Amino acid sequence: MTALAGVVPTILAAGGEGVARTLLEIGGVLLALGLMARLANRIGLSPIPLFLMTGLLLRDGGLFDLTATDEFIEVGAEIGVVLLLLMLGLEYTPQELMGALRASAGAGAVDLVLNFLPGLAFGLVLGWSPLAAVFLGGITYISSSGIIAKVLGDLGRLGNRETPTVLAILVIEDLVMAVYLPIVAGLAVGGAFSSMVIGVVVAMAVVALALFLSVRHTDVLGRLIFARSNEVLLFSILGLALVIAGAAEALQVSAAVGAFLVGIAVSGPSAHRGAELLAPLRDLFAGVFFVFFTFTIEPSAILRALPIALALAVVTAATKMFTGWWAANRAGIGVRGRVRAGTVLVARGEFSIVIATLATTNAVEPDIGALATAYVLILAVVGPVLTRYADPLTMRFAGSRTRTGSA
Amino acid sequence: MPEIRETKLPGVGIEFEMSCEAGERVGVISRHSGRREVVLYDEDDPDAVAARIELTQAESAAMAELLGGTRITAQLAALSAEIEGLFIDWLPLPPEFTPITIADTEMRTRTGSSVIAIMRDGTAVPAPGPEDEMLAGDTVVLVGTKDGIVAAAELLGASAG
Repeated sequence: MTALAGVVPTILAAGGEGVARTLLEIGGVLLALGLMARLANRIGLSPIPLFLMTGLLLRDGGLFDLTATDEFIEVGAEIGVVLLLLMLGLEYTPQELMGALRASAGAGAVDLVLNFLPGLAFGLVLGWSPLAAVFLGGITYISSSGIIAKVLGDLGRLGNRETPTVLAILVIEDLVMAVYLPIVAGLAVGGAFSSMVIGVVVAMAVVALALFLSVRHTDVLGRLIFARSNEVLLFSILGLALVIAGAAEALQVSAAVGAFLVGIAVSGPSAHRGAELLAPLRDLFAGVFFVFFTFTIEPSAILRALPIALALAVVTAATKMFTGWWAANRAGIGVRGRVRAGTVLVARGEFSIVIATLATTNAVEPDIGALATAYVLILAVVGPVLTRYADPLTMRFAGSRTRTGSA
Repeated sequence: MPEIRETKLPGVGIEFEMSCEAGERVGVISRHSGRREVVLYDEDDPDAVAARIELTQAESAAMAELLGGTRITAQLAALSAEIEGLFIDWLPLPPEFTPITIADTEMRTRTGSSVIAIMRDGTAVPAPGPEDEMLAGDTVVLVGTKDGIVAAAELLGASAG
């Protein structure tokens, strides 16, 4: 990157303007993200915290001065959110949604109560508005399915006994997001109380309808857009998601919610292959989204938010660990598995940032972006590290007791 | 057939698992993406995976061939290169097999396959006659068409894989 810092101005001085500058800047951002992702892989961490750091370095007044790409990055970030939510909806089959709900509704409820309340309480103690506190509750509640699924795969824990419990909790969290997002989006837009209520009710009704259609009825939307050609399917599914997201945004329901609905309403083979086709696009634009998100934040504000973020991280890491422990215990898992289940749930990531964006763009609370960034920076790193060392930690603290217990 | 347990992994795929006679527990994770993972559970911590192998779709198909007792396919592939349409298979007879002479099975008329050897206790009876008996625990060597060998295996109540 230091090499780039020297090259870019030189090339620009040679007369590159307009297109040249835009290409250089976009390329530079992507290369920086590539370097960060490479580093993340090397040290075995999630790239999300490193992407956030990249954004902090690249923002205006940071190391570089990006000016030509504002529009691209802004639109790219929007597409990133749409893709994150679309994929979330696509990744589960209706049977998986219902199965998880039936099997783990209790664990899901414990998870919601234990991890939403700390955020809500912190928000209120900080003197934020109740609505801002509800946003912070969402930020502390939602674990990162992306980070967790990757950690489970990397550590070879997909076959572990506690994994179905962990995955079921993640599915329920994602389902809760389907209901939570339209509510807070409706509330955040504000306006007269009656119009707010109508907006929320309409959004919820649409979510309920999409869930119902997806679970009860065969996959109408999926069959409509199904195509053998990857190209046709890619354009259809992405086009549909963007159109619905745009329409939702125009109706002041939030683009993210619209995209999520499309993801839920499409199931079957279209959803399967669609998810495969969209995964690299999601990675690309989600990276841009993280960068853009940090552009909206003053780095000094993150430093100021750090003590509170740390306290929040400690409390909510503990509540997540308890949630996993409790759920795994109910599923008849041994002590070591309970600790693994608890620690793996600690990671927060993409959706905490999505919620923070929703709060920021609707001017719910000026400090929420910085706090969410610091919070995610901490837990996206601590979560995977904690779970990697879950077994040695258990052995150390519980010692021989666990060995005899599980033999 | 050992009992196979199935566990759904939402967003990932399905896991199948069985206990082996010797006590180990082995599982296969079938991912939505088509990739498979073979996992072996930890004896010390029965909730945890101790070892695993990740296989692509093609690799798992090859592995299934190797494991699935499709000796026919493996051996015949080599043999059929020499003689088109002729197959040889080694067929172990189950312990509950009732002794019977080759003539009494009417194998050649009924299936078109012939017994070309009987292996018993480490020695072979090459080119057995119609009066020769097949006993439980023997391995008979058959020659015939592919379908003929499968039919002969069914006739003898042995599994041709």
